[in-house]
Amino acid sequence: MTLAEQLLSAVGGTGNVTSLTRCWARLRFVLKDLGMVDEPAIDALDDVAIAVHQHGQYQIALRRGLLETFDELVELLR
Amino acid sequence: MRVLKVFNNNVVLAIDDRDVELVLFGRGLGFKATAGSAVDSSRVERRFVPSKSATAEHIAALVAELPLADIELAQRLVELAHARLGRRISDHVLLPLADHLSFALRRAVQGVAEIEYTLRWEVQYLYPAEVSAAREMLDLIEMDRGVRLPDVETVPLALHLVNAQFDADMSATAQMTGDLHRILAIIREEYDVRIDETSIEVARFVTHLRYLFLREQQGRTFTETPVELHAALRSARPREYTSAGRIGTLLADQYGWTVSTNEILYLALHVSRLLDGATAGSPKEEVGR
Repeated sequence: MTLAEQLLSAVGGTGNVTSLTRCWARLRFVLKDLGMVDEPAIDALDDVAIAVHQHGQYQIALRRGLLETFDELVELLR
Repeated sequence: MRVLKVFNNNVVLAIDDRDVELVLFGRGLGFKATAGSAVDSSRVERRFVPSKSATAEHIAALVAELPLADIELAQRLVELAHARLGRRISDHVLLPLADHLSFALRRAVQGVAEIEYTLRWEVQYLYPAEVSAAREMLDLIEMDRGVRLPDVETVPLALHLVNAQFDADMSATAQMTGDLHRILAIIREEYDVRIDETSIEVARFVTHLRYLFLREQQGRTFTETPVELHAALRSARPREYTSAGRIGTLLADQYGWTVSTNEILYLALHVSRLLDGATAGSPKEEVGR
């Protein structure tokens, strides 16, 4: 599985994602049900620097490849 | 102006006399304020006007959640940017910058691994003025907080500054950065030259391209240039004129812009300057030959 696929599955799958945006350091998910997030699975991913819940978003900072992963996620969510 | 909603002691959502909603920030502004009460204008330090991408509610929530000290430090960073890069830095950058700063400080304090930003190489040579301002920002942050952010953090700061000058969204800036890099690669390949990325010619070329992006995004055009100029340059520097055409085609394919012959003329001039300042071949290729 690609990183994007692993992340998407860990935040509860396509059905749990209301919207996705990004800044330069973070993926920003707005999720329907935060209870569906598998946080240990996300923290265990090598490419995840840190994941936090703030400003009504579930934000994931990646150690590398943020723009590419974002683009792939956008495709997966389409 | 009347208060619509109090978010905390420092942040309120208000409505002005023309019925426009806006977010107001100021120490003590929300203290004892209630919905419907008049805004104490003397306490307003900052007003945020909502946009299509950020509603008043969203902005208010963000401002209310960010630590006051981070917003104030971000204000000083914006002032620094104004001093170094001029007034064209949009004030809209404050919130994204404060949000980024807050998170970067948190990562640094928690010892989170450094981020290898995509575009880090491109940013270093395409936006030297912004990178230099960003480096000064790291100094200012260190003085204020006693935390030195890693050098690589100049990359997102510089990108926020690029955004702020064109009031573009982040995906447009990311796209432009990639394309500037591709355009320089076209020239490098076509002429098999080494381009000194720190040279004044590259800086001028990149600046020219950034304004070309802006003109095209806003649908503005250059004033007409005389036909003789086109003919003269085309016969004097045919290859460079062709390269400029290729750059125009790349931009047309990518964005659907109709890059005018006036733009092509200026591009051809810049390509010529760039080549006059370049040296032949890359060392690796020379060894291979």
